[in-house]
Amino acid sequence: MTASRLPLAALRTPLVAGAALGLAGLLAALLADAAAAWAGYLAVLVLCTGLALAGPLFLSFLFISGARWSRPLERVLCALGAALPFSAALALLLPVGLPALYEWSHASAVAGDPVLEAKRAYLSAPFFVLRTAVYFVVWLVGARHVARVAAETRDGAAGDGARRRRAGALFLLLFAPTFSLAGIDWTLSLEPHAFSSIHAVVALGATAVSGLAAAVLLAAWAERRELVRVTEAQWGDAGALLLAFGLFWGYVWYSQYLLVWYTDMPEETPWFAARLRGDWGLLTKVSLAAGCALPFAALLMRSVRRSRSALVRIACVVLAARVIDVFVAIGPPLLGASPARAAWSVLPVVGAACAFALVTTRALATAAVPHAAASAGPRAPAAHSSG
Amino acid sequence: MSARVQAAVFADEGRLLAALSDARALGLDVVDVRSPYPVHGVDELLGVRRSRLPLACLVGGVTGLAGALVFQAWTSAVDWPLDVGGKPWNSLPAFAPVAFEVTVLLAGLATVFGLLVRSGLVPWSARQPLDLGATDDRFALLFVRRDMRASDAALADLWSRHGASRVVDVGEERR
Amino acid sequence: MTDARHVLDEPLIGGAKSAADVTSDVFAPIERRATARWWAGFGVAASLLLLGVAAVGYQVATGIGTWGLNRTVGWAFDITNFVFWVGIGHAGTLISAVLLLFRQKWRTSINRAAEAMTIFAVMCAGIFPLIHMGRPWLAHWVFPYPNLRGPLWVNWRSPLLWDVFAIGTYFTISLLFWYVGLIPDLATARDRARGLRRRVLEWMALGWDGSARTWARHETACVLLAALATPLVVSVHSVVSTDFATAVIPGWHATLFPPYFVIGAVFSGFAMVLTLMLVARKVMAFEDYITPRHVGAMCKVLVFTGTLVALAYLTEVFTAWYSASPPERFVFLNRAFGPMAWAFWTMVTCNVLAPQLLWFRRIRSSLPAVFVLSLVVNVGMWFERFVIIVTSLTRDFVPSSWSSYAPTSIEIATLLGSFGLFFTLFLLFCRFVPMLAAAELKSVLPHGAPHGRHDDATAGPGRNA
Repeated sequence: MTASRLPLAALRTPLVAGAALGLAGLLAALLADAAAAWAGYLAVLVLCTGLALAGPLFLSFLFISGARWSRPLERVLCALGAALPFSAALALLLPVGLPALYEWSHASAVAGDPVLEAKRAYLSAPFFVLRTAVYFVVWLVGARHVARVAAETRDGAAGDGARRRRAGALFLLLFAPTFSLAGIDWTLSLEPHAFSSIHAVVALGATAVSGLAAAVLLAAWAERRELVRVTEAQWGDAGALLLAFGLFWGYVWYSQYLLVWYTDMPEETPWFAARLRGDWGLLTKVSLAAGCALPFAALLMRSVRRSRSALVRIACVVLAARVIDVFVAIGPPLLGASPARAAWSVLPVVGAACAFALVTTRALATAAVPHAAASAGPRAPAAHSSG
Repeated sequence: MSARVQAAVFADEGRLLAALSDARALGLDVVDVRSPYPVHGVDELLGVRRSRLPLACLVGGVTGLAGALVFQAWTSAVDWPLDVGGKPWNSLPAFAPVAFEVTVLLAGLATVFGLLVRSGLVPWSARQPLDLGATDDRFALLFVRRDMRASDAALADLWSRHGASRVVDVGEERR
Repeated sequence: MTDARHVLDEPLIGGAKSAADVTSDVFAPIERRATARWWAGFGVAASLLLLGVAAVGYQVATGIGTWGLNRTVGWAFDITNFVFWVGIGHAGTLISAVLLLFRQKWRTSINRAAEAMTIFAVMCAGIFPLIHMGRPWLAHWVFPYPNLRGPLWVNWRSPLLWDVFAIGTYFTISLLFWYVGLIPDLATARDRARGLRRRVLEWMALGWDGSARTWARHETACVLLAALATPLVVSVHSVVSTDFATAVIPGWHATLFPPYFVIGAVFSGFAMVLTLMLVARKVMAFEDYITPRHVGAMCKVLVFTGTLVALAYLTEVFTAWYSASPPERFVFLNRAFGPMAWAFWTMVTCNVLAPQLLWFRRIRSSLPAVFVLSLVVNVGMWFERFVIIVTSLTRDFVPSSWSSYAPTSIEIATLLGSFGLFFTLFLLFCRFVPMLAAAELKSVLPHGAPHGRHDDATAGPGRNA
């Protein structure tokens, strides 16, 4: 009991202070540069929701594949999912920011533009808010269910496998359309003329790799606090997954880029041009190098994949890359040709990171208490046999 | 100095593993293990080093990547530049697919080549397959009796204790 | 940590087999004389192949005017067949490589045949672009070799050239992967053979002796090849998709195409694996090795990928609407309600609706139902490519050039011929090569209790992943 309470208490004060600082930063930005503040808000919403969704998403994958190597990591994934209410709370502000964020929410911008008029049925403020509400209801209920099944089937009784597969399949079925549309709604529709059928898949790649990185950090924290036990081989598997999803992200990003570059059509090229030129272009390259190329090169080495400290460092780089990636996605239409105004978002992002860490570590610590004692005994010999 | 190699043959991997660790404790020079499938745990007991094939794979891949990129750039931008669809001479985004394929091709060829060469797997391989049933369902432990402290009796006891189905002489040691 | 669950699992192989049983079961079919059923199947396949050879000979001699193409529809049947066959191959690589990396042990019963299927399917695929060139005797021009025409190099910016490299690499790596995995079994066959057969097998088994050192290297090589084959298989159908997606034709240019084609390929490939395995387990008496559990696992992959394919269809339709681009919207309306609506709705029925039946355990456990559904998916995926290619072309930007397309008998005979080639090769494979990976099967037999536990406790990847 005490072992799990201590670390959290030690962590709580700086995290709370960080979150408060972030809130203050957001308020200051609202007064000084409202558009930049809302951009920061949207970035935080997209980031936190993505990381939180990665929890139930990977749990569902593990469920349907019947994976067993990952049992200790399941608790970590559940803890990630526990941050969904936090991002749902963030989303409550979205209707307020709607006019500041979305060009299509202004009747004057839509009138006379045949493309926007043709999309009016979809891109309308009430429908947008309703959709976002539906996404969160679906995700909250789904994540809760997946986490509950994970907890109840941890000991592996007969028939649990089928229950896990059902829960995983159900979540994925609900996740796929809601996630696809949420990406279009929140980010792509910032430029209402833009469209790309692979948009959701690129977003999924970035979400998956950054979610894995968050899970790695959380698992490392939990292992240091002896809340879970992760073997070297399991770190190796996590590293391999990080490698695979980093590659996947790179692959889908390049697929989109290649096809747009190749055909060079006026409907598609402007979206990319804004993100490949000037300082935004530099940020795009940095995020791809840090989120994709660097982890790939590092994780090719088996010793790196299996080392906790190396994985933690790589995960930090990947998360930083994801933050840049989100700003590149939403920045150009909101902040203009230069990313300088994104500086207003530094404090809000740091604050959100603190709040996210607070929520997830707390969930992990409270959820782990009843299981840690029960599972530490029999697992101990197996845990070190891989040496 | 040449020594006779003998083989103790077992019916399952559990016996083989137990016999192998006891044999090493006795100080027996175990030269190889033959099995119908890879038995996990044998490598550690035999002291087999981790394979360096990944290195061969990496070298092949890097060669392929660099070669394909340089060759595409040279042919399209230097040797005979051709305007195709208004694309730049050096169209890196369009060169990536071929560069990737050649990377994988050479990495794969290097891996297989490394495997075949290092393990001597060639059609004209001089090795006569031993009739130990190790490609069917038997697990054979190949050993050499060399400056060994243990007696013949201790050795016989070792094999019978672990239920060896037979112990046979398989010929001169090849080093 | 998972011993308790381990015991609860059904064994991967039925009938309480020993390693010796596996050897005799797997090698019996290639050591006895061919059965009448084999000859019957071979006769049909070889006849189809001959029909195809005749059709190809005729069209090469006469020219591609023997096809139903016209000025508006320049790609149709041949490219549909090309994409179809390349896609079929993908399940083999997936089973042999991806499932190896994910340590899904049920793959051991089907990987050998699935990989063989990959190789044969790629061979079938290769025929179509070759004929499509019109002058196949100049096919070597696709390779970048120093030539007397300048040297005029190939156009590296062309997706059709990417195809050459993608398919070439895919074929080579698949063949190597397959052969490397085959060596231990060829050694087993060698040690059971006599006379000339033994001489040939000695040559083919490369002196394999089951040494622990060789096994260690062999395992490493297989994992490396799997790690290479996994991104490779993704790249292959992605490259194939760029044949269309780099064009500016509505219905062809969609950024989703690369992953969409890959998932469709896996879907169609698994359907073909199911078709073949359900037949093979009966004909070759492998019921204990290809069990309902394997069929169930493949069905789950099928329903999973089928649902992703359905999602991709929806995404395409939604994006077409959301783009608010009139030609984009028109293409999809034309597909669903135009003159070729029958093809579109066949595709939707076969690929979206039919596989959903596999959510039900009752259907998954009925082998005849699964067999029928696998055929339905094969048909549906062929139509998917037909719909994408042909409906997008028949009605282009200029209504005055709108046209239609119907295949000629020559084209149909060529398609039948490719099936003939595929099944001829597959039947020869069943006859002369151990169809199940015997060495790998022995390693998953339940008798190896310490082996199984070791594998799980160290989370397996020990040397792999």
